[in-house]
Amino acid sequence: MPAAYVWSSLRRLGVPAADLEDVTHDVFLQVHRRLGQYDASRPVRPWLFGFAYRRASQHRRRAHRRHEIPGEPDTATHPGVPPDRQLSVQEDRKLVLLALEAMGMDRRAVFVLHEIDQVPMSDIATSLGIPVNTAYSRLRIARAEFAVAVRRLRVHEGRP
Amino acid sequence: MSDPGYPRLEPDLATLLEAERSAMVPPAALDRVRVRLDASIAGASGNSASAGPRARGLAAAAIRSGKAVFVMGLLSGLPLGAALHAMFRGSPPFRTVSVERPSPGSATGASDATGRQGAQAVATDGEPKASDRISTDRTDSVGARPPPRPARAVSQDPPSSLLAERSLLDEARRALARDDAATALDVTDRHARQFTHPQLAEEREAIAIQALVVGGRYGEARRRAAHFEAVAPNSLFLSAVHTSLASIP
Repeated sequence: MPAAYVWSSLRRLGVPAADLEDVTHDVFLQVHRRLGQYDASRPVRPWLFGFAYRRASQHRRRAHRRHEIPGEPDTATHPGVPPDRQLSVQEDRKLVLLALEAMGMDRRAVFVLHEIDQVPMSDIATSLGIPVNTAYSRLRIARAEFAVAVRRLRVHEGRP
Repeated sequence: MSDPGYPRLEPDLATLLEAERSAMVPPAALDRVRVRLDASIAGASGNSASAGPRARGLAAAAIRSGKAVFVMGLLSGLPLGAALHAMFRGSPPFRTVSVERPSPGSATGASDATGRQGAQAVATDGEPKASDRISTDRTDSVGARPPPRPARAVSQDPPSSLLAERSLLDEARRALARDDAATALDVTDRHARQFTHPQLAEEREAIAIQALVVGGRYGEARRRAAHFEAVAPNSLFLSAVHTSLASIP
């Protein structure tokens, strides 16, 4: 569902849980204004992600003075996950969101699109307006950053 | 270009990402966004229509309407193709006209042009009910000239009505899923009575027709489906209606 997708993308791009409703609303207002630019032959998700990326970047620039806790969990649920694993999945999710905070926005966008949304790199390059080689380069660095961040967080939290 | 051989994520890290993929956004939060966006787009369209020159005409209004339908379609979870279809099908937005039924003792010819048009539109059904107040945006099907159309595509009802409409139709759909045709029809009737400018009228009609089929009221289902197809020939819900009719023994 596109609305849920935009919401999740904003979260992954670092928009705090408390601001998600406002920012999702803003993204769809932008979508409404720019609808004439949509190329119907292209997949919609990367196109929507482009809006989310720009809005999240703007939001982070404005919000940098706030005292926000990165990775603070929102009210998302995990349907299909057995009750005894819910807590563990929520912890994993928090770890992912915290590790994403270690990346710059440009690399984070490529990482989220490719590793979480599983969007082909050519579509990522188009939606972010960058050459495909640049997208690959960002992905390579982002993967390494993510791995380092997860290791560091696990050590910090005493997790295996 | 294929992956140029950069190191992939380690399996345990890839597994971690599954947790993020499986997270489901709270539906209530998305509903609140929908309602707010509905109000924002309606306000923007209304301002634009009043401020702009009349020469922009209905075509521009239809484009604005289509954009609103598309965006709201995305928010409501329509597949992209369906949302695009709703945007680009080129027809004006679905609109509801109330049917004024003269009481037995009342003077004839009291209803206005819109009322007459609506009455003609439901003439195929012998016993018009509240649920017969469905769209007549394709008025050429009844040979009448359409009244001037407002520039706005979205409902004139308060913004919160979308959420209320959604809730009612979900209730009808749940009843239909239990094969409880009577409840489904009751709820769709309630929707028709409650919302004078519904945004989900096509969906309501599709559910009602399916409920008539489930309830074994095949004749009514066929008549109502024929009427639905006449007034909304490009509806996204027609395929569901056709599938339902095809199940009639």
